[in-house]
Amino acid sequence: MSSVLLSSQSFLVAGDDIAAGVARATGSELGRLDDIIASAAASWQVAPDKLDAALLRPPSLFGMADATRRRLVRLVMAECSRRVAGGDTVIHVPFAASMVPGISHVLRVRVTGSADERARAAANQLHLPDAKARKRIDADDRAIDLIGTVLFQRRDTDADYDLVVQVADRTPEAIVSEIVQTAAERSYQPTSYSVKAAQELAAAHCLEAALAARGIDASAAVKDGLATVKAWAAVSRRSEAAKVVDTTASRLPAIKKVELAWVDDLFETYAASMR
Amino acid sequence: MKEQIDVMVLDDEPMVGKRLKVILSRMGCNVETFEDPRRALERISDKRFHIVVTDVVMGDVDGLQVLDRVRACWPDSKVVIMTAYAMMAMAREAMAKGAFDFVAKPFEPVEIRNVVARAAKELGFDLLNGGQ
Repeated sequence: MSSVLLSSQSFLVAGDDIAAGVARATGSELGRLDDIIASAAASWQVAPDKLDAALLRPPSLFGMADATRRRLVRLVMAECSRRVAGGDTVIHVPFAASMVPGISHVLRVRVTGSADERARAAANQLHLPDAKARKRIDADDRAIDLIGTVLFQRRDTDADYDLVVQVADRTPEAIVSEIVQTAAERSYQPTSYSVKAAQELAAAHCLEAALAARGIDASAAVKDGLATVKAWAAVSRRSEAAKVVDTTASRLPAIKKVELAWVDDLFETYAASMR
Repeated sequence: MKEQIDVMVLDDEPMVGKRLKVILSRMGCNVETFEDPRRALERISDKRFHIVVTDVVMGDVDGLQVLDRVRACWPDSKVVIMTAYAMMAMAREAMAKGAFDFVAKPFEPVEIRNVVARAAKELGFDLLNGGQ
């Protein structure tokens, strides 16, 4: 069975129901956003509301710094890829297409609705007049575009997904059935390559998250047992970061060896080289 | 007499064929190796191989064409695609065309043994316990 990562546009209440229906129909573990955030927060000792804000609160002048947001979302990505590597799972999160990239047995689904439909839902849920509900939908979409650009350097669009499902005039059961049928197609079945790739990605995300939880930016890749980690850390924090990498890697069976490189991007280093 | 499982290994790199022949023969498979994909395609038309293990990038004939030929001639046979250029899109294409599995090179002997054993099991052969 493939894993399903699903995103839904704001005010489409069907998103959680659809994810639950797919999980039931396929016998997969269900991960709602709240569960994913709670697990990530517990694993990395971070306040859940920070993770929630990093994923959903739009960037603002006095809000969360972009670097902090990216670091926090690393923890959510680590939790998603851990679940995918662990077996059949259905996860309902924002930016589903980007959370566990490059794994062929992950079906990425986007649940969308028309602006009218979403505005009606927003008006009902928030008791707003139609014009205000429509403004709220537009603001939500702009926020998602901005957050996506900060986190993944691109907007979250239909083109990033394997399957785009319109909820208009369709029952949740019909939508669940379409997703389950697509997930059962041979293209989305696990292969030796994709299972190994999922385990390696989960290991890489786990290393990045371990460092991110301590405020250290890093990018990691794992291939055939070798973990290559590039970390941005001040000289005073490098021994701490190296210990974190060693301790984390020792718990991950996909990692046999680690190569750790430091990236020095201090402005004064570049300035000195130009003199 | 116990029926042996026939396996074709196709890779334009001779060393891969040699190594896989040793590994798979030890499991009890009857292995034929090919380096020239055109000769392999002719052989597939003549003889049913239960399992075909093929590289994907081999000059003018690629592994997906081999997969097509096997599916056309022997729909029950299992095809395992191996490649050094593993990508999500390629894995999906191979699976959509009916490959049994997709393996990225380099792999450990145990990985290919497990894949072939799984394919054999689907055909009714028990390679891990040495019987049908």
